[in-house]
Amino acid sequence: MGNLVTTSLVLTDDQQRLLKNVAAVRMMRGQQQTASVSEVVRDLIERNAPALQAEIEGAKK
Amino acid sequence: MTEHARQIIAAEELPPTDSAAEIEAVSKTADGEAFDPATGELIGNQPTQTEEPQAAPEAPKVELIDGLDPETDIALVVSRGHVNIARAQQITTLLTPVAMSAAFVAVVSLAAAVVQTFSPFIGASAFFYWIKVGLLVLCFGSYLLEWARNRSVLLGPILLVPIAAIVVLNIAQYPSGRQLYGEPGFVSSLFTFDRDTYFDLGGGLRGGPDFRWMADYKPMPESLSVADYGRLTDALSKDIAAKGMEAAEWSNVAELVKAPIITRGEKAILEHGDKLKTGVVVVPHDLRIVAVLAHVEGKWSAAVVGGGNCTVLLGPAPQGCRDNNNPDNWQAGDFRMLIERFEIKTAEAAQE
Repeated sequence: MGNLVTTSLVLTDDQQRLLKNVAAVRMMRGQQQTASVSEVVRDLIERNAPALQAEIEGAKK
Repeated sequence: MTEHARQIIAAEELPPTDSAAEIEAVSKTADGEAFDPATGELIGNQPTQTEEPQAAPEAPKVELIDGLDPETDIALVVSRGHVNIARAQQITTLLTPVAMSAAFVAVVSLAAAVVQTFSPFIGASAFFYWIKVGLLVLCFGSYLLEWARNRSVLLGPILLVPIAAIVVLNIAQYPSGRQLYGEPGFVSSLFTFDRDTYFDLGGGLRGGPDFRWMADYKPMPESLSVADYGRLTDALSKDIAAKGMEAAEWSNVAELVKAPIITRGEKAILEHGDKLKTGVVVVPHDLRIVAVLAHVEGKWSAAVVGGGNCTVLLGPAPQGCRDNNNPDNWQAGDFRMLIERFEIKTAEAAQE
């Protein structure tokens, strides 16, 4: 994992609630150490990184 | 020094005086006796000329018109209203200090309520409490003083009950979780404004205003032992795995000697806060995980159990549970999440 930077995201209420719930459940199941929304988002990006990368490659000449 | 030349003339050499000058020259002694300066002889008491007192002119007799009150109406006519204004001023002078003192009590109480509404942190501080009580007692004392001084038989007794009620109610509202007086650290605690450690929540736990409700349910020595707590979380874990969320079928939990209360988040604290010493199990509507709030060995404890997993977020961790305590930042992390996610209603939330 690279350096961690702090950022802010503009989300809808539902999206934010969803992420918080996922974080809470993962923590309660022992999948995450804490109920961290950041960790959920990092995991989301990590798992979708190939598709996102492919999208960038497709836009190149 | 400059020398001024003076010419001294004997009295005998003075030119004769005229009658007016003679009168002036007649001096009086301290006793009121006159003497002639020319001869130096006393010339006896001079009768002081006084004017004959003149009899006051008789007031014209006025026949009163029917319906006119000579005490007020005539005075009003004669003085063009000034008398009534003076009367009003006198009444105001008598009543105003009493009414003002009473109004101050009400205003201080109202201002305190506004502060408490908009800033629970300041409103719940001991410093604010003592300032408020000090002002109220001062205003109330001023009210009693003014009442006694002005003998306000009208306003004094009427306002006494409501004003005294306001003062007493405000004094009774001592912020929970605070030391009242006399205990070590009392004076320094008055000036402590670190919001994260401001309230004594019991069991050595300190927290900010968001968790002040916990101070109303402070852990007592008679609470679960860590072993009993471990049996509870173990039984819950087994029952959820075997029977799901049907609490009525949880046989392992039912067999516990120190049986917990199983309830929903909205009732967990408000109705069953006194059962924390044996454990309160909170069953959510939408998860296969339960929360356990309890007093364990005189400390606050919170855990989540389900899916073969047990995680302690606050307090002692029994065997078989993951210890997820974060003592430095327990208020911002998972414990807050637990309260929100399991919709655990607190006293403050119920008042809103």
